[in-house]
Amino acid sequence: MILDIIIALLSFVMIAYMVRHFIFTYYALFGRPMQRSFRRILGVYRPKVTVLIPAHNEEMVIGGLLQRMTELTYPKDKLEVIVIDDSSTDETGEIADEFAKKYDFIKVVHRSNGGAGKPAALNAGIKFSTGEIILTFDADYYPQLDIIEKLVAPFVDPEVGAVQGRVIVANEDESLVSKIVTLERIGGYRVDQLARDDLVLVPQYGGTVGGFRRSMLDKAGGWDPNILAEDTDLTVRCILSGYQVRYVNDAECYEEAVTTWRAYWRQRYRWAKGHMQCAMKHLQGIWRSIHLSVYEKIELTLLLCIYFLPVLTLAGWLVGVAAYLSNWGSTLPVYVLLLSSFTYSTVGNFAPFFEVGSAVYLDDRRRLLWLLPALTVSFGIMAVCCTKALIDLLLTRDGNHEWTHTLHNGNGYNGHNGINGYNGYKRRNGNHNNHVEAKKPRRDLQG
Amino acid sequence: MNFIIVLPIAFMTIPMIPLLLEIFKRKDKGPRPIPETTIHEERPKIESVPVLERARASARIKTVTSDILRIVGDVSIPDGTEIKNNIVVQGYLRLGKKCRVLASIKASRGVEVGEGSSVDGHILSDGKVIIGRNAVVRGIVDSLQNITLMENSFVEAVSTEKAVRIESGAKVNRRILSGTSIITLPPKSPPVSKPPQPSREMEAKVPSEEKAELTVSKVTVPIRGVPEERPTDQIFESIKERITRLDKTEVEGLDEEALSELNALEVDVLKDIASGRDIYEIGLRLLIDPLEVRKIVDGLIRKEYLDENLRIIKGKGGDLEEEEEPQLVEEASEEPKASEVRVEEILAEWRRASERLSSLKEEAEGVLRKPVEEDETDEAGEEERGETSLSVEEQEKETSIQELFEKLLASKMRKELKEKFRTQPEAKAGSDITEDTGQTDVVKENYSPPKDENEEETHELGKVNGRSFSAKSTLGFLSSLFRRLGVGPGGEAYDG
Repeated sequence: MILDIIIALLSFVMIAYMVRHFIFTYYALFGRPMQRSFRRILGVYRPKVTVLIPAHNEEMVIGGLLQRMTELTYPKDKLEVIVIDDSSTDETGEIADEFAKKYDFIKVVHRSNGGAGKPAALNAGIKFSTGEIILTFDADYYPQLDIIEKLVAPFVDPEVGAVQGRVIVANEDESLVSKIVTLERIGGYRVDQLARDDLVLVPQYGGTVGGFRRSMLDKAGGWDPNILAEDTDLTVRCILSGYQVRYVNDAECYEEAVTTWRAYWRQRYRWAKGHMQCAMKHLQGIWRSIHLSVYEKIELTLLLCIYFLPVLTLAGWLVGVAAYLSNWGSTLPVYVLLLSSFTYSTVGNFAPFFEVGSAVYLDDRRRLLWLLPALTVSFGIMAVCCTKALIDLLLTRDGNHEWTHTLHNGNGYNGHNGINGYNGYKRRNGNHNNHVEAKKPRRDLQG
Repeated sequence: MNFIIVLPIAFMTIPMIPLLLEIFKRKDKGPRPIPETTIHEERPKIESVPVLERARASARIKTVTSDILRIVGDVSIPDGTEIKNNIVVQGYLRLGKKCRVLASIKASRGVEVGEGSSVDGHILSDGKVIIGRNAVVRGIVDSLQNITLMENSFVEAVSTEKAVRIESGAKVNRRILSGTSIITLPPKSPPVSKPPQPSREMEAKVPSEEKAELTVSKVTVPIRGVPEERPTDQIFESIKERITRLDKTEVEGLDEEALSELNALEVDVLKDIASGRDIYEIGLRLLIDPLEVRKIVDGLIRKEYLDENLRIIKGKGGDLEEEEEPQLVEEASEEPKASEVRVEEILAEWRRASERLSSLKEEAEGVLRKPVEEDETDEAGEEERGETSLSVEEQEKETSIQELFEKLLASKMRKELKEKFRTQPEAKAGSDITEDTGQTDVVKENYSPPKDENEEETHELGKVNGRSFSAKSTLGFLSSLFRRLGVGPGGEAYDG
């Protein structure tokens, strides 16, 4: 009886996610925004903005981003760019220093005793910032020229505490992994984030191409270095403080996606572990919160628990195989097999497929639809990856969680920064050799 | 191998084929520029208050963030209040006079900022926003409905899906973005005794709720579409002095009691006669036909208010003649102005005009006969009938043609005078111009447009008493008549 109840509850959770994906997809296809748009005040609201760029061994890409920062249309007297050189062992700091000498609005913070990864670097950078709005960009990103105006506009609303822009993969042709990441990014932003914003739910601050109101950040105490998914943690704290998070779909920024399965695994492992950390940290507070509506609580719960789902799927697969091999079918109820094996593993899987497919269609990139079957590969990997993350988290719950760094080689900027590994900045300065060394990943940093 | 297992696997491989093609296709190794344009431009169409947002806000009213002061329902903040927090109102917010808000305001149903108040942040609303007199908003005012900036208010920027109304002295420092229109209103002028009536075209274009301001003040928005210059302006420039003089009637010395037997029209005519105006000027001023004026004058003569020389007999005060005579003597050597022309000269002028009209009429008759003579099919018969009709009805037609042109003249001038007043609203104050319907209609009735196929060649305008006349002859009459009367720019404007 107890087993039946547990299985029924788990099946209900799976069905809830399936419905959620279908609702988001339907709304992205046919819905209309239910929230205020800030397009009207684009370019009019110009507060002092600080852009934080944490960089650890990013010599291949940091020059391109800083060069792009000098080309932004946002007034430079209202813009402050702070590069946090997080104990880099390459020329990242030197490149940033060169830009700082040339442009007054660029500052460099060198951290010699770096550690604890990106959150610690951001906390160090914010101490030197003077902006009313704090935006963050990763070093491998390539923003649109007017992205600051687009990201800043929602902060006119005093209720908005955080904002998130759209991330687009620049190097999708590089490998099968980058193609899969491209599909996931398109589905995640074009449908998932946008629908959550339009439906007045909770869009998620993704850690980059977004930002916070300075006053909110100060009260929240900045980024938590003990959480691997520091962006999700800050999103929840923002919501719990009574602020809103908004998503700006046309604030586009190009990134260099991971290109190997190893890097993909490490990156997703960190995300999964971080989300699980956040879930364990905030779920109780969310349901006790007096600030949130019921469906906000449901949505936040589903969001934080999303990386538990592959674990359940893997469990479902194992139960199904075991039931087949040991002839459990005669002893377990039929609906267990139906729900655990059939419902999620087939129909349930179809929901995110449908979401990604719709997003590709909406972006008018129908050629990418051919790649949809490849998502089954990533789904299988995620099932194992998330299960491992859960086990590790349970085993080392109070211990230190290692922060892994994703190495970027500059391939994402074929047209601007470099060609096939040649960094644009260094190439212009006549140094062509460093990219070879940089492409050799350090074992302790590769992610 | 079991067929039941093989078949599903075979089907499952089908979607893998394009996947493999996509994966192993030949890669383009060249540089791929990142586009500067946005893939997806957000085009929201929020036409009403977001229901879900309101619902969620209602569910979040217990938020205790110290930055935000949340209020559910309409709220009115008393005068002189100072607030340091952001204000989020699920309703209508009315800010009193001389209040100070050091943060932003967000109200779902609308915001009204009181006189002399200041807001350091932004104002967001789904409803109407009114910024009071001398109020200052150092941030952006954004709304889905109309935004009104009252006199001498200051706003950093304005954006709305609807209209922005800006009163005099209001200042927008940076940008105005309106979904429909931007209306600037002039300073409110003191009430005018007889406000000018807006033209029909204007009424059709101006929204109903703005009519009140339009009737009392001038609107500087381009919705009126009145051209800067009109062709008739040139004509009226030449008779501007006359028009100005027509508005003035300063007669002293008339005994009001003696005039009590006369009706209002007769009194006006008598006063105009006493002020030295001729019947055409009287007709123009009173907007009646000169022939009617003539009849009234005849009636006044019969009632012995005037003598044969149009001198006032009855109703005259003691000092009228004493004041007139010196003026006439003094200005006799100068070129006489119409208001000071002696009555004898007016009559002499009128007789000369009548004689001239008669001669012109004979000329016109000659012209009028030509189309008839040119008719080759029935030339002799038509000529005979024309001569016969002329000889029999000559006296009657002379009178009718003269009357016709006098009516034409009066009607045309009256029409243009009315147009002049329409295009110059400031000139309408105090005047009593009314809709002209009667006389124009009479003239139209007299004209019966001929159904002549050779209309372009003969330029026939119509027939009078069975006789047709052409545009050329009509214009000739009019131009000569205007030259005689000194109306028009040297008599050229009406020349064919």
